[in-house]
Amino acid sequence: MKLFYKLVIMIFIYNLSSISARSAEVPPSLVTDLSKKVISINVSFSGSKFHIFGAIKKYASQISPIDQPPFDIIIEVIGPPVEMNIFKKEKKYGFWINKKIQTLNSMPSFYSISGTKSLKDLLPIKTQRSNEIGISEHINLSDGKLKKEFIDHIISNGKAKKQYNLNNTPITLLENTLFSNEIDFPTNLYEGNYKVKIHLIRFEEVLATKQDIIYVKKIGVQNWINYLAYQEPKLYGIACIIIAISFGFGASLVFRKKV
Amino acid sequence: MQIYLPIAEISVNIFLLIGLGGIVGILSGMFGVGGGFLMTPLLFFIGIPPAIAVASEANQILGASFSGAIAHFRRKNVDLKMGFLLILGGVLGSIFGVEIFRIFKGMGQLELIIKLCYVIFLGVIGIIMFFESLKTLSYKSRNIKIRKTRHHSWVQGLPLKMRFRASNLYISSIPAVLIGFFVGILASIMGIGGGFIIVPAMIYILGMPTKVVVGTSLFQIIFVTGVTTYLHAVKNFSVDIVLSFLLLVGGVIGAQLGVRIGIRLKAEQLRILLAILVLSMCLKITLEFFITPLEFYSLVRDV
Repeated sequence: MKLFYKLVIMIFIYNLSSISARSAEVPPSLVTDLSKKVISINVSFSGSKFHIFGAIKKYASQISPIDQPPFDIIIEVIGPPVEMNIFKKEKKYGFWINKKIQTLNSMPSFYSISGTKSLKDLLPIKTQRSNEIGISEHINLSDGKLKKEFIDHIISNGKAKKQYNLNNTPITLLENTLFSNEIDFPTNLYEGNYKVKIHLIRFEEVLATKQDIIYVKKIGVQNWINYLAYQEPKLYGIACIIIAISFGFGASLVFRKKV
Repeated sequence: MQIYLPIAEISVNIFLLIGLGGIVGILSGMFGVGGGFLMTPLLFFIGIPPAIAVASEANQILGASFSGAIAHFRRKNVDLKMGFLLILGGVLGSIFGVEIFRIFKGMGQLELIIKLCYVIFLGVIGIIMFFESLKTLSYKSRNIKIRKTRHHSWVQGLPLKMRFRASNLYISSIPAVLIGFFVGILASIMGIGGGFIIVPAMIYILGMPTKVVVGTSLFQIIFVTGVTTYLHAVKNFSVDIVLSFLLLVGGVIGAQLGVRIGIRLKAEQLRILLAILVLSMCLKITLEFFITPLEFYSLVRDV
């Protein structure tokens, strides 16, 4: 139902925008919203989903079908940056041993891209780079220039862990205006702000970009344990000892009575 | 039903964890072994990061051994003086081990070190167990008693002698501290209690009477695993309390079942199966070193 209402509002906005006549210089813009602003990780967390809704806001001159070729949309979701070490397995003394190659200071912990077409069909590499769109750009942004070989491996590694998703369901643009997309979050999510970037593209050019934020946080026991473990490790260590001992002691009392 | 492990940061089936705890609990109840050396590699196999598996397992052993230690303490089966020497060595070993753990973690070689230790440990234990059980099987059929040998001449030559009333011994305190130290290192790097090593060491090296051996080793284990848990929590942030708690739940129930099964079945004759299990785990970890990996690159989060 919530979904439906959002769509109705979108259509309403679209109609409003089409009515309002403006000068031809005003470029089209984006109106977007997320189905959730916050994703909570609790004890039974097993992944999550959210929707991105949007509409392309056009002005009078752009409505005429002659100068209005189909728009294209690219949606990126970029997780909070984390520090990662890249290791490569190398054969040494007959063993496969990890060899540290590089430390990346701010790798995106999550990345998802979806679009009306694939990114490479929409934008030339140069434009991708200048607008910072695409997984390679986000990995490269973190630490200057990386070898292409490494980037490919980082991507395939991320894909295997479901942290990088490069083949989402394609977006369909209804009436050349409305779109929505579903994003799947895996179970191994990091806490923090996830940037949602929606790009409007036409003629291999980025016309507008809108950014939104979805916040992933641990709640309840999870949050509490995490807080203790990283902020008060001494207290946490003692708590672990007490819990283990009292459970062992309690169990011995229970089973002694039965025997 | 999935449960999200807050420190390991992955979601695992809750029944799988309790079940694993239960199976290892049954085995440890049946054969009177601690179970850490079985549990930790099983945790690797289900995808728990080795660093977290080791630290959380140390915490689980603390809980699982506590009731046994209390029972032996009440029955005065603990040589306190010897216990304190072992603990002294154990705590030093644990501090040393956690430091090694931290250094290798920084180098990205921690997994390799833990797994190498397991290959050696499981290999040695498995082979010893396999031949011992073969021996017992053949001796039993011939109805011959196994003779125990007590030789510890080199131990008697060492200085710093002390009197141990409960064990009725007058020996040097150095070997006890050294044994404790060695086991402390193993506890912190491998997530095991080390009963497997202390018990024979106490009998064959220190010459302690069997009556106090189990109680004293449990007494030492709870202190050393306690310190190890604390140090891992503070230095490496690698204790996952949810994981250790679930393993404890399964383990405690399993151990009770295992003791009952062990009484009914002739566990000694099944010991050969345990030896085969240990050897096959050893083989699985060993193969990982030699088989060409499918993925050459890995990304590890820097904590």
